[in-house]
Amino acid sequence: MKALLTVHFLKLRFYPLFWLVLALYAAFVPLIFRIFFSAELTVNEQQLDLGSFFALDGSGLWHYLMFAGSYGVHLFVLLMVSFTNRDYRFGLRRQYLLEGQNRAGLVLSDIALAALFSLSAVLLLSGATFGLAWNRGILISAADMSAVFPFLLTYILYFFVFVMMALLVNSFLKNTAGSFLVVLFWSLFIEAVVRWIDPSGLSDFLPVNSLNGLIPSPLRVIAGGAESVSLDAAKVMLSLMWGAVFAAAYWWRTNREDF
Amino acid sequence: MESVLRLSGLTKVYGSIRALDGVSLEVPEGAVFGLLGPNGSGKTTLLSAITGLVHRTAGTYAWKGAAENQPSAQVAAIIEKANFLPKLRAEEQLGHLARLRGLDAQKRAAVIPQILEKVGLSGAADRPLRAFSLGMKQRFGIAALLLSDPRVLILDEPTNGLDPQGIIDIRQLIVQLAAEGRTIILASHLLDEVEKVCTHAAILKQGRLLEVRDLRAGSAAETEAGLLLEIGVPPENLPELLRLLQQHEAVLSTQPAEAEGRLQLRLKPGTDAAALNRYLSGNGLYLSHLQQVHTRLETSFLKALEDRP
Repeated sequence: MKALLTVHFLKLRFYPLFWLVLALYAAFVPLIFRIFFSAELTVNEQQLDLGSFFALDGSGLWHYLMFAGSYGVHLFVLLMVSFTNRDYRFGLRRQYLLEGQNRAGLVLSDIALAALFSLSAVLLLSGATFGLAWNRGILISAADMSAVFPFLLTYILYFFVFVMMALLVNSFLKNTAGSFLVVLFWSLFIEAVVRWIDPSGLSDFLPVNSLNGLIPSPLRVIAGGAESVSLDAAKVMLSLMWGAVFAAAYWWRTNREDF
Repeated sequence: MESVLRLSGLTKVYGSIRALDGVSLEVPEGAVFGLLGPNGSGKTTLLSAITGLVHRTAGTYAWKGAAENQPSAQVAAIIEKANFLPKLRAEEQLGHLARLRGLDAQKRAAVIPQILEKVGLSGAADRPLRAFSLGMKQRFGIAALLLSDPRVLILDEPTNGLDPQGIIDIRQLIVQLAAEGRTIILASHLLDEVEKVCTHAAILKQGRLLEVRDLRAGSAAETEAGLLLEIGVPPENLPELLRLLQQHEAVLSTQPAEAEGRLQLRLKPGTDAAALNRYLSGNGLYLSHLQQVHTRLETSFLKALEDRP
């Protein structure tokens, strides 16, 4: 598995989409922030600073950026399915098996890659947060960091489970555009429709709804829907369960597959 | 001779298609073992099954020194085609594969140039694979196989699409690798290729094994029975030829051949064609045609396919 992961890294060095996704994500977070949380509008000939509506203190900045950055998860979904499909397209997976790797190694290296992509997302988010804090003169204290730390972990989990879901879908479709669109439409529309038409409430346990609990919206605090930004432990557990389910299903699928 | 691979009732079913149907055979160690069959006969499925790429439906396979139904670390294979990233340089690609084979940096640095030299690609080490010709890609595929110095090589249609020089190069490489004591399993639909390089041949049709032949035993049997020759003279000289052959003690039998003015004859074991030619020319009869007749693999291949629909 270690050798396979090393080979994946060597391939990533020359994979343009990898660098493009990292660059886009690095630009995406400040851009969203700029558009939604710090734009200056002219209303009735008066300058209105949107930033004044939001609590842009040390931890507040983190929460706004995590919320905004979570929408960039689809970039990493695209990266993961595209990178995996390149292996399928060039027959590299069967070549890895012929080179003495086993199926468990294939699965574990993919899971490790999904985890590393998720870690990259949180590192880029952190970079953007510190950059914006410096730019706007916001102090991020050690207390802010320790308060925000659990949210950073769930941010990684959010990305990881999303990417694992994409890996599973792609193991059946083996098509980058198809897998990306399935995950995109499921996460943006289909699951919401299922929840809307399901009277039983069971659909509340579906993956995207569970995952959304990992990135609590700071806007709810402004709207008065919550006293503070907090995590729902049940949804964290559900998300962990979905991560395990997706990983196990991917394992099962890869083990049954004829290459 | 000890077997390096033993198959017993190996079966693979895809939906309603039996791609392999109870194949049982043994591959002797050190053999160049040809898998012959028309397209769709199950050759690639068989190779995929014994390397763990596809799951068996039934039956077993066992590599020497490995657990039953487990691929062996002593086996390296190219199945259908070698699969590599086209943008990577040859040396770099081999480096990736060497990592997967567990070679450390020092060993990689030593082995990769040697292997590229062996397959005649040392001048192309810095070139990306997409710039390689088909023949170079095939040779590069074999280079990749040699990274771990395997005892068994599996090659699936290694000369497919190659020009005549490319075919000769690959054949020579196969012969060279076999001479090093490696077992080679070679799938092909080209009878001529199998006949030229293989010591054994198995014939597959629609997933079933029709026949396994020891090609060396065939040659030995021919030598033991005496040479079978086809000779020819101008038609007007045929009676004289028959008279001379009847007087020659080394001629066991004669029969007319298909072409006019030609005869097929069997010589006593130990008699060579040159001696017969000298005898005839010494009696003033010069042959217009002299050729040894082999029981060709093609003949038995076609017969096997016809006999068992």
